Amino acid sequence: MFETFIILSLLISLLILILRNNTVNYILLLFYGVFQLVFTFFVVKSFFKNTQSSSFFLIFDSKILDRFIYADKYTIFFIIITSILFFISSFSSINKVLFMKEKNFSLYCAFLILFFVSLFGVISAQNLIVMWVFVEATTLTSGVLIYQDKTRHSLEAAWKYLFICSIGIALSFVGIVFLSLAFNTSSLSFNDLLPLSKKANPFWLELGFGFILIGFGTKAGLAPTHAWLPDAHSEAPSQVSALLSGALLNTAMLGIIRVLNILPIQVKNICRIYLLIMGIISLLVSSIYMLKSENYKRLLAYSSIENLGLISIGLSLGGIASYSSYLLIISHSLTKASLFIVSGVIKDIYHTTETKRVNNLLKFIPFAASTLALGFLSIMGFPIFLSFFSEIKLFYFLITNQKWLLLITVLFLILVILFALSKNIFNMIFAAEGKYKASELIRLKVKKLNTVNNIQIFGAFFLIALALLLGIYFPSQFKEFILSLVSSM
Amino acid sequence: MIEVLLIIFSISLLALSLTTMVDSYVRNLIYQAIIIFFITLFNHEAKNLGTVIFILLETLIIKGILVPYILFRNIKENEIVREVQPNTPQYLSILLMSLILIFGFVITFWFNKHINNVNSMQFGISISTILAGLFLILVRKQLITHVIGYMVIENGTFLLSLTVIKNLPLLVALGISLDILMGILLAGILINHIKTEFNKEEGIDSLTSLKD
Repeated sequence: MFETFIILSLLISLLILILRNNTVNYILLLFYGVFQLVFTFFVVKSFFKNTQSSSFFLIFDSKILDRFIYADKYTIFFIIITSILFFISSFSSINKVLFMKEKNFSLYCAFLILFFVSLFGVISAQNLIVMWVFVEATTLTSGVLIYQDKTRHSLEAAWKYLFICSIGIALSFVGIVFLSLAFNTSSLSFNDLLPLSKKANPFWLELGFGFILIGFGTKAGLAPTHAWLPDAHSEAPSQVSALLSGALLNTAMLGIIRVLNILPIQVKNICRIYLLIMGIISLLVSSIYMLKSENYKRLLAYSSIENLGLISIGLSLGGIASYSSYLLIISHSLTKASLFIVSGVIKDIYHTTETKRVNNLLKFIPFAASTLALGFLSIMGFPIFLSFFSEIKLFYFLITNQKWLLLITVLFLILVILFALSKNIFNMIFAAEGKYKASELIRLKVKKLNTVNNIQIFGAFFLIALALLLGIYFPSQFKEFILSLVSSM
Repeated sequence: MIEVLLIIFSISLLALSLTTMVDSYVRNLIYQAIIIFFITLFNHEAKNLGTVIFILLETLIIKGILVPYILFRNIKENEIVREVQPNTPQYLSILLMSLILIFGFVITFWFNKHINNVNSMQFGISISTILAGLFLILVRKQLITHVIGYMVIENGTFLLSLTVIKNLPLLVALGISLDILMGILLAGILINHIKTEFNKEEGIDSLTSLKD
């Protein structure tokens, strides 16, 4: 059924490229958004019922890809998040319908779909090299999306992104070759590798994991190879930034998780230390840069690095800490996507991404301001949001295992980040004494929220409400499902 | 036979460190692709003839024809003749490249007890090739030379995977090559845009406007 989905997606993107009419293309994009939601629903349903999916998704199936691509429990976890985010991003691309040239908009829509297909491939690939192919494909497709605003800055960001990530991924290929050397086999399916792991050569396993950590860590935005991330996130259209931050970083993390899973326990313990170190460096780097960043989209990008750092710290510790990481993945994806969409609306209205020049949001555009405020509370782990429970579980783990040094380091760095974020975001929302007052803004003909913006904010609000809802009530089935992910690590 | 080919391949790496003309870099890539074609021919262990022919053709067409074509066209369109101000002198860069080659062998020697049934010379040279690509990216300034450095890294990983993963599934091999081809195509388009947007003479130094 995956083949049918991929072929249909390619056909729709081709159709969009041919049609070149903004309204029609937007409707097609929306249609695709609904279509992939339906598909995800069927994937989840057939996974839990252990049956073949609905016959519609089997029309083009030749079963060639079935060996490489099928759904397992990790696929289910990540595809649900990615699918929801893609729907919201495609839905909130409405502001581009009016202003973008036909050629550019059709490119944008087509590559958005291709980007989703490649993300989807990474998530459901069950073979290391197939996964590698799709990871590279995500770089290429999102590289085109970053350069959609056609400015000097976005050009620079796209180049850096494409180049740094391609080299990182080339290095991860070296890691894959080393793993194949370790297992002494040429079949690189995760299922084939797992039983061999006890006999594998630990030296090559460790070296291979090191290279894969660098390669996929580059895509996941872990410091010290995060250089592309703030540039790409700040210069891409905000819907794309939402997908980059909420979906792409996760999929790269999934690559690291899958490789960790096939390692034997002694090697895994050493490799977890590498992951832990990268996580702490990410926290450190993001806290330093957030203190001096003067651009709110870059600020959000650094906050992504921070969250991915926390996620990798949790994953490296195992047990209940890994559980907290999965919760944080959900919460971060929903929140950050929503924040990026709101920041896009703010950029549309104020025509700037400088934090200093955006003031008085609450008076001027209250709906956007309150969504931004909710997003801020969620990203900082305010009680009753999902992220709060996630971070509390991480701290609980650190306390019960008496890792005091790590606890103090993480708490201190989070505190610095909290300070940097709140200073900037509070200024944007509340401060009246800025460069402009609300009345002046109207005089400067800065437009108020129109229907288009309201629709976008509504999408963002939906995501943040979901994060809040999951914090208030987290169904026990979800909990069991995530625990099953953790137990196989 | 493979040993002779590998030695010619390592000479092509030394040549990369010496030249400053951009189009001779690309010609060097074509030579490398041809050598890789022959190495694949002698190295393969695939079971049916169809797969072997397909992988050989794919190597030759994508690495030997399409990628160089894209790069040559890009060089022509942007009127790039030579690497502007190479920031390391030539004797230093050939010295470093020789060190990289030696390092590849040292690594093979180190790892020797961990390597079984792998051609150790090929292993060493492919490690050197990857490092050589990184070296090109670090010392050269033109964006197009960076793309060539990336291609050299890809050649290195391809050589490395030949030593270890003897029979890749056809579909997967095709996926890898298509990724590389699309990457080069996209990089070419971006370079064109960068050249018109930024100052023509400057390379990577002009891309510094995004920072904190």
